[in-house]
Amino acid sequence: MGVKIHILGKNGHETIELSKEEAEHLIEAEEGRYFIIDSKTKQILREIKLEEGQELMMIPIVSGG
Amino acid sequence: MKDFEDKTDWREVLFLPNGVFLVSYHRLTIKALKGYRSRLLNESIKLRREIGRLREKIKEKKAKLEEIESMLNKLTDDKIREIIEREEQRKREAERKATEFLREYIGEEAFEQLQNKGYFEFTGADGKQYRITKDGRLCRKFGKYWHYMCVLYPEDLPLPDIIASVFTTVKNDPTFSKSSQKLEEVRNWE
Repeated sequence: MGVKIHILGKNGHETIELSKEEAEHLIEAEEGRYFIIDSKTKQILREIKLEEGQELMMIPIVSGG
Repeated sequence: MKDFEDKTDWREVLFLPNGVFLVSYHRLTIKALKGYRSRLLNESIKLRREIGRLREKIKEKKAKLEEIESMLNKLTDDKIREIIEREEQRKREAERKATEFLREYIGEEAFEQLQNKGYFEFTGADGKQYRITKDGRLCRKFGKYWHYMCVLYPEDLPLPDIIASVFTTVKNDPTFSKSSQKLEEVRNWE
């Protein structure tokens, strides 16, 4: 079943399907560069606890002020 | 001619169809004549050298032009045109998908506002009022006024994704505008 991740990147919206473990690794690796958002609730994931069949979005973080 | 025999310098006024001219004559001494001739000779050598250098440069430029033109011909090939069209089509498709996503993500009301007014407003994680314009610029309300903020955008994202990205960051990161908060504190304190 795995986890579906939509990534907003320069090549458009890329969708990848990973196993739960792979998705956790990816999220860990991209921490600080992307917000991880649950596609259904549109809420940010505050901790990496994924579920099978979950759909996520990775939205790049901007900096400034 | 006899008049000139004793003269060494004189001036005269000439009336010609294209204007009035004052002409002065000055007899050259042999020394001045030689000096003048030598100056002209040097000048002619200098100009010949310069022409030689310019010819070399023209040759180099011609070779470069040929190279550029041949490269340009290759780049205007049909195959290249196809690649560019494909890439532009891909970008248009990415932009369309990103717009659809943005509409869903920020909500219909905010999206309509963005389309009609050119911006939409929302409250950031720090409780302040923010505005994102349709070209992706971020403003924050200071008192009665809106101030543009400095934002470092992710590289080469489609514009709707930039808007989504700025929105998500401001909405979720209360420390995003720390430097602006400091500025505001200083203003209030003063």
